[in-house]
Amino acid sequence: MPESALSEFYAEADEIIQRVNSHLSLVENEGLTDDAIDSLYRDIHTLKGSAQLFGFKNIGMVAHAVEASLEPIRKKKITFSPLLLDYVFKCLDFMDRILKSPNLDLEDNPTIRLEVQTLVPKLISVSTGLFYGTHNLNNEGPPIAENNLKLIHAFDSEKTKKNTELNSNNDTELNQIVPPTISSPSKVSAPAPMPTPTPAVSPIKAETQTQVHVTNQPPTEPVKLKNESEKNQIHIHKDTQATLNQTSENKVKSMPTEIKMSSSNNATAVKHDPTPHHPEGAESNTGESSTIRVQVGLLDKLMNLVGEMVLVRNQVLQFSLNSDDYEFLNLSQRLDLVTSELQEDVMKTRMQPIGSILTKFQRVVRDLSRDLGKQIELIIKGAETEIDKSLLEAIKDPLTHIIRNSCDHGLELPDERRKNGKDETGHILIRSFHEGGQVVIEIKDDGRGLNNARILNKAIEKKIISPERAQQLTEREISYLIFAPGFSTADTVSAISGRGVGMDVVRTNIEKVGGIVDLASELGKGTTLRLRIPLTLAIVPAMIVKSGSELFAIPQVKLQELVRIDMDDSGPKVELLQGQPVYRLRGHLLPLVFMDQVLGLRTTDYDASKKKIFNVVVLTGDGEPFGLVVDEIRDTADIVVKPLSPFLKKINVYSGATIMGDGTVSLIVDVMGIGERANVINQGTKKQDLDGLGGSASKKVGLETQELLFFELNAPGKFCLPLVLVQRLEEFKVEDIETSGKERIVKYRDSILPLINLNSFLKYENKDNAKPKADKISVVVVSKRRRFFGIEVNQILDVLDVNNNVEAPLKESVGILGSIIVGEQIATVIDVLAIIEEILGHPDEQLNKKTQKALTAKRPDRPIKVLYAEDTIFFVRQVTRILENAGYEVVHAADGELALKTLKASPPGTFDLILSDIEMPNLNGFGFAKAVRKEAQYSKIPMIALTTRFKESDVKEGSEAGFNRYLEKIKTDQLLDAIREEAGGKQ
Amino acid sequence: MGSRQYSTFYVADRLYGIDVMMVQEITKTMPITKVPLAPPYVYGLINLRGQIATAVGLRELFNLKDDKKIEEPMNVVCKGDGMLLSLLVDQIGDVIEVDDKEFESTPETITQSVGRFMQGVYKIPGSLLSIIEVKKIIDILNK
Repeated sequence: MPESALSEFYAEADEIIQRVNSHLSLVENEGLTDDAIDSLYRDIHTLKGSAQLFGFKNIGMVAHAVEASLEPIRKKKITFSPLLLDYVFKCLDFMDRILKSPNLDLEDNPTIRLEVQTLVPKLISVSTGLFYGTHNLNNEGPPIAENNLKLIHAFDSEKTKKNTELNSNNDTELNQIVPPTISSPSKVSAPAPMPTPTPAVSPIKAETQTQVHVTNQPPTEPVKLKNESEKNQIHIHKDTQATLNQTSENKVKSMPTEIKMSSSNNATAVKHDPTPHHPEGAESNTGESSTIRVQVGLLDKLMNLVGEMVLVRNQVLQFSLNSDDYEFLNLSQRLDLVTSELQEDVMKTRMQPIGSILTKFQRVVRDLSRDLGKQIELIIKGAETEIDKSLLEAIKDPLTHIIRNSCDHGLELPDERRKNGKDETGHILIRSFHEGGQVVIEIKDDGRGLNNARILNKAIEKKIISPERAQQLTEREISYLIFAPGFSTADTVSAISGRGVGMDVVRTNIEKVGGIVDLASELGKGTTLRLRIPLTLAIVPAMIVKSGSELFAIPQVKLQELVRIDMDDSGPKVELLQGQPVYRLRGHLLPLVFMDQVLGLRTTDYDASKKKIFNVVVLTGDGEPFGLVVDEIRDTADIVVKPLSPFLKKINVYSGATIMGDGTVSLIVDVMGIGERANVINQGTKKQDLDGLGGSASKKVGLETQELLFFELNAPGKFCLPLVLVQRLEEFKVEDIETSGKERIVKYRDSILPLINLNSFLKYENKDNAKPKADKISVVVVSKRRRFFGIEVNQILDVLDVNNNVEAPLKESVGILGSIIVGEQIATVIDVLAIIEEILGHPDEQLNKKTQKALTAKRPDRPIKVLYAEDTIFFVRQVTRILENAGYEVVHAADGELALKTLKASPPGTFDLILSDIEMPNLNGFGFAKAVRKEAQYSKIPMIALTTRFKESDVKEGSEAGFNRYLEKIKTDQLLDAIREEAGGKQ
Repeated sequence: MGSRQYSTFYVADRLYGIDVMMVQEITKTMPITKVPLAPPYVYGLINLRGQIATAVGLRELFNLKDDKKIEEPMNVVCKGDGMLLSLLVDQIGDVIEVDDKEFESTPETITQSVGRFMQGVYKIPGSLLSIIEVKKIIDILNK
């Protein structure tokens, strides 16, 4: 079992148990709600599944019993009784305990098995007892709900044995484990007012247990012993002083020792002093509970408060500068020190070692090296460097991308390495460390390095820069071109390191969290990428500016320089270019954006004659810099970022708000948003033909977005096809193209790649005869049924996320799927699969083609449209990809309620088929199906349930709710067959 | 049949109520930071002891045509969905305890501009109390 997967399971299980606990308490105090029980059920179900997957049979069994006992409640057949709640709590505690000490979940551990065998039947009998209106535990008579039958049987034999043990043998562990209430039936029948806390002492080790028994002391107070490993939890150290002095490195190392200490001391602690209230000193002596668990919410609040405190500190310091009171100066300096330390420590509480993601890359690199036929060694240093948990998540994807790039492009094949006198094994070194209040992650390979000449050629070819501008670039600037959107050296692009989306995405993602990407490369020696990530997201340095009557904060990372333009000066002035203000900044044109105008504070255009002085903040958004003209430039300040209401965030110009020194609120400017609003970024970098295509479309990354590859053909306008279909982008020399019969082919990686020229297929003539014929052709390689086809296009432009839907074309024609709105333009979506089929009519494809034709006969202008309700992003991606590859159009909704909304909002007949998950928030699959079937107009639409729940009763409930079929998730063939049959069957 | 408590207030001389449990606090007029480009009912942001609340004018949100401009609106600060919402109202009323049996759902004839935020209405002596649901406001704002 991979370590990381296991630790993820631990984290998830931990989270679930906590959530279930809090939900149960809520139920207990405020009564049962449908939402609460649904979420409880869902959580337990997930826990059961993953526990069984990872081989925790005991947990799985107990979770299953809890699930079974919740089932009748969910179906509103019974409701919680205090006793039932009690037992569910006990089960939770049991699972929690096992998760905390995983070595106990051995099948041959009799104590645990016995406990399971006690808990499960009790729980079931309480639940069934409720069902039949009796609370009597001893009367576990024959009537048992269908779901629970099996369980009871399984434990029947064990139970009798155990019951006798229970009543006769007072000396067994059971007395420790099962609270006294259970051993005496008379007490049990009386409804317990509050759930008794769990079995007091958790057995941790065999030796511990025996010692506990010797004491022979009934566990009156719940002494919960902690034996927490350092999995996904946040630790607060009792001994702050100690932590403070430790470097993060030895802190992590010291952790296991701490844990060992606490567990070995537990027994003695219990023996001598069974009450949980240790005096302060005793606690630190024994080392008991050196860690405690704290709600993340509380930590967040602490972080916020400390952030506020830092601001106050800053004000005090500023104030103290103007004071000559010696005492005050002294005090403020101490305040400064203490606050800094406090800030540092509070931040540490949210920190996690970066190793938790870095170690995953060992596997990635190993797999890649095998695929690529390269020998690669990954060295990780500084895995213990700590970073804020949320940041850790944010940098995971970019890091993966960089490492894949290094493996694929950076390192050479063994032969080539040997030829160049290098070690055959390529090395990738990931080093992370703290530096200047930031975390630096360095990814260094000893590969071939960046070839600046080639990069430059490519950039000019792709019209990322003009040839004139290229002359002026420094070496460094050239290598940085790889971060430009749309840049990818096509002849090195392969399936492994992405398909034309690349370093620009990496940079955008890193910058999104306030980080910076640095690049250094030496030809033939290797490439080094340095990511500088802030320690935390909560506090950012910012420049405070004034526009109109308000102050705004601009994050420093986006800021390049400040420029003051005086129109009376002899230097460069603000000029108008096609009516738009620009400024010559060291010879380059800098587009200017007036902040007040962008924000709608001023509606008139810029009047050169009136304004004399311009304060310009030079910013880099997604690409080319632009100048933001503000009324006043104030000061720099560390600001605490506070979230905005979602509906204000939607304006897309502010990334948050902050509270200034004087208590007023200021908005934090989203530089990208401002740029987009002013349209600078678009006009700046995507001069080619992509005006209006860029930024705004790619920004709205949501579930519904699809990535499209844009290219040019002979006809005006832009064309695109879904990126999921694209395998690679290639360029072939014209002289390499051969003709075989009627087909044009090209040799491609030991096989033959048939070429399809889109221009000739779509009958777009080359009107622009003046244009010289290129000696290379751009080819998009797509795969269909494991065969590759090369689609010839004029020029590949870019890959963009688009979240609009494809509209059916006005006139039906083969190969055109429809059109899509991107920014302010419309692009034509090419139906490549249909084209391939049309051209080849390959026997393999006959079946598919026939069904497709049969299906589309009714509405020939568009593919089968499937509405897909699913809350798990993983499945959304997978299933959508499968369906889209098969030529279906998929509209996704995140839960049943949204799906219903989507369905009702679309004109009747929009969807040909509905796929639905069962376990979803808000409205589950059953409810969704029922709601759909309730409407007469939807009664005929085929519905397929996709689920992991495959019990007979579920299938039955599904078909009662209105599902035509019940399928297991991710069984590609079954799914496609079923859709074909269901969607075909309706005609 | 139980009873409930509502925090009441007036907007354009009409009486509204919000479940007492939803109201975090009521404050006098606070300094407001305007949010350019935001919808007209968003007055701006206010600082509530380090937390930022979004101030929304109920008069504008409900589209109540009333020329009378209130100089110093009161803030009814509500908590919901992880954010603080400050509803700007003309005047604060009492906390009223109402009997469940006096409740009626919102009549169909109520204009949607207000009706879509309402949970229902209580018939209280001498007046009618329109119940505003904070969750509905948040849902509609976020839509």
